[in-house]
Amino acid sequence: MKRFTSFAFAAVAAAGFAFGAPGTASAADFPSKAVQLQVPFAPGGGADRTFRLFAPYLAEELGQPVKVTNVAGGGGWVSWSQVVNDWNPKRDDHKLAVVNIPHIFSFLNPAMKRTEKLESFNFLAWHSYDPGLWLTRYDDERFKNLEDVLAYAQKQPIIVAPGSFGSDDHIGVAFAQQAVPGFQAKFVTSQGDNSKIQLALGKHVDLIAANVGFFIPSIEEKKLRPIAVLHPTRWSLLPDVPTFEEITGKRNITYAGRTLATANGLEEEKRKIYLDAIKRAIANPEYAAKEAANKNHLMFAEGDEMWQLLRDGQKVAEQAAYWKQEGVQ
Amino acid sequence: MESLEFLLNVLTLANMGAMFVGIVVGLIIGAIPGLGPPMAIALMIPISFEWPAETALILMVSTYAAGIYGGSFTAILLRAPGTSASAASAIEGYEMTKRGRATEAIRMSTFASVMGGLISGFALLYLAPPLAKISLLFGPSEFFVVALLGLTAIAAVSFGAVLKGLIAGLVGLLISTIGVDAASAFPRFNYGMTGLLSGVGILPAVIGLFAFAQALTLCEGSPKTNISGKAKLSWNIMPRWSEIMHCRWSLVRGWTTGLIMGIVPAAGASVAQWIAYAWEIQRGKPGDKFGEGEVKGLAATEGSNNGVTGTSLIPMFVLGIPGGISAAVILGALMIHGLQPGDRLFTDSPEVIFTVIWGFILANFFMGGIAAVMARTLAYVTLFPRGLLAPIIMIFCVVGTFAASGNPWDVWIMIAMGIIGYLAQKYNFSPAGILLGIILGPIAEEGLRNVLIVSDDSPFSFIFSRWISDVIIFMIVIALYYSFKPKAWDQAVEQGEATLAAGGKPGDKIIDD
Repeated sequence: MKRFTSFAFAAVAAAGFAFGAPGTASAADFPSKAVQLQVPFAPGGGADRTFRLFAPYLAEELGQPVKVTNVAGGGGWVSWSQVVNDWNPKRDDHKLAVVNIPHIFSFLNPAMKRTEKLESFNFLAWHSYDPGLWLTRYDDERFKNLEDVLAYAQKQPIIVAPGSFGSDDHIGVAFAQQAVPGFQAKFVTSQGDNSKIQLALGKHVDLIAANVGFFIPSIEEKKLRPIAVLHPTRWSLLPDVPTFEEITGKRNITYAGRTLATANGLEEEKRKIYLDAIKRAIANPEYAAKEAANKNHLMFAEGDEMWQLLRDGQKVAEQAAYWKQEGVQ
Repeated sequence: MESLEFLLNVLTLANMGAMFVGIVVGLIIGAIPGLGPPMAIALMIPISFEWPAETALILMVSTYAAGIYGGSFTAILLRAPGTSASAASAIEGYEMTKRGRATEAIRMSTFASVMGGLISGFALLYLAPPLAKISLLFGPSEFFVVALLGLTAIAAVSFGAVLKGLIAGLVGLLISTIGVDAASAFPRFNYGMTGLLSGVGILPAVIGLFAFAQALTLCEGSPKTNISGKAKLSWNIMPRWSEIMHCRWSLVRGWTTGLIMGIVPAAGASVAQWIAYAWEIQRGKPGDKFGEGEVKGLAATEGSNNGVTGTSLIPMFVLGIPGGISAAVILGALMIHGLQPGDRLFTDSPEVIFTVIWGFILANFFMGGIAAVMARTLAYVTLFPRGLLAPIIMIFCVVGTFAASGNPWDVWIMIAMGIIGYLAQKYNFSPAGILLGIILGPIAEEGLRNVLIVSDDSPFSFIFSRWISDVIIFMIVIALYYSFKPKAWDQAVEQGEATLAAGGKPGDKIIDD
């Protein structure tokens, strides 16, 4: 690994030498070459799809091509440890990284033995946001609303499909186990949102814990019933669905979010150029229309607003403390 | 049939053009280890965004069908499968190549794949809604028993050395436990290394165990000799009637396995081929030479992996639940084009969905012709000297693995698997057994743990109470019975059938204990 990266760095350095030394360009002609947008998952996934749609619009604003690269593995950490530990603000100033929330909160899990924390990242801006949603099978007579679900789960464990442990969807249920007295759940793990539909329609589970976007079609087709949104307020796409807080009085906020980050210590002028370009690209109505079809909700946020969202998410994850749960097999 | 009218929609210049591009791209990326249909389709999404939905989707389904088939070229010619879906074909296919029968292998592979794809396409066209309902029956218990069924194939693919095969399978299962555990978020066996957090991927495992190991094997022997021992190749690329009739039941078994496994969520071509292959070995007749270039084995594996392609799109189109990674990427493309999977796709947008399905069927048809010509050209690599071939394969393995994930750790994993695969092959510990363990381990583990959770720790009564699990358990029992029963063809070998040596040459390694 060590030798491979140093070889890669040698290659990058050589390329830099050939095409003009990096870091010497003034902010006026920045960026001076193609910008790399590093996605921490393999091609074909949701994150990859979104940023491949985004790249041409960001390129338009930056005046340079934007190349999506995939560095998969380690649940995102192969890429993020490069971003935090290896990226140099001078050498890697033409690189942007996608950072997925709550995936990075796995640093809270002591078993992961990670040294990073939220502040280790040089976050630029929030890009997209999808709040947590609980759903049941539409023709399941037992559950018409969140009250039914809570009453059932207080009598016997409710069987939930949360994807994998530590996902935002699982964190939302783990939080309910802590916050709602007597709430019992059993988890049937699976790979991806598609498999949750399979498990619910096949009557293998009682409840799906997921995010809004992907499930809108199943809701419209009356295959699944939305029960509660895990967001501070009702969500624009599902105005009739109550929030978890409305029914229980407990603020349960989970979401799948994507942010963009850059090398630590990047010059403020360059940072601002990226930030402005990202802001304008996200506001481009043509891009927004594509993402609407992709069921991805764009949301730009920067500075304090962005940090507030990040810290709120971390707080729920810390309270849920799923890694301490007993009965984990 | 009302859907027949949509056949004409496919015949526009744009749709046919997209189909041919898809076929050629699929065949090429399928053949290169590491690059596979999911990656190619993902890269096509932004390019085809402005196109009409049916044109974009025809491009993608054509790439998918051709990519699964294209992986077989390098599997047969070099024992370097381009995708995980063609790993099983590497066994008999390459043994045929070694005996100078490369073109015969390609003829059979093309016929099996094209017909498998066509049958699967028609199943998609006419049987989609009822078959989709069956896929819903699969829950934790079924995933567990299907994985067990797949694991029984280890006995068959270890060619008599069952104990060594089982050891290989257990090593594979052990490797599959590396990485963060989905049911406790606890990192297992990663020894503090970030690169092992997500475990050993199927792709680096397949490339290492087969392709890279093959490159190491080629380093043995004289660098100037070639692998087929031939000086020129036959130009005959059409399968003969007698060849087809010889393999007719093998083809039927392969196609059937593919069609059924396509509907099983999360199984797909990488599992189907092994079940088809094991079935074939167990049904072998006296005179069959499995493990030494038996064309029947190749017919079954090639029939099954393309038999999967059409039916694996069924749960995706009807329920929004893709049967494999490629189908998942196509689902993403479908949604970007404003189409929602589900019953309404067939009622509200029949012009799109039926055009795409017909496009898929036609793509399978044309794929045969294009592939046969391409494969014939590619077959020249079997005439290359080993000294040239081995480093070329190694370069493709490293570049392909890195290109697939951008993760430098995967390259090291691939090389480690390559060394394991080389040693396993040399000492007759079935590399296929290791691969089966790696592919099926996570499915079996997740299934079993979920069963334990939902059944209140009484898993047996839970599993046996589900009829579809019972059917699969019955199949496991039959598979085990045949595994322990001496094989008809094996006995023939023991009796010293003179046919054994007929196709072999001095220096060929005979896989037998």
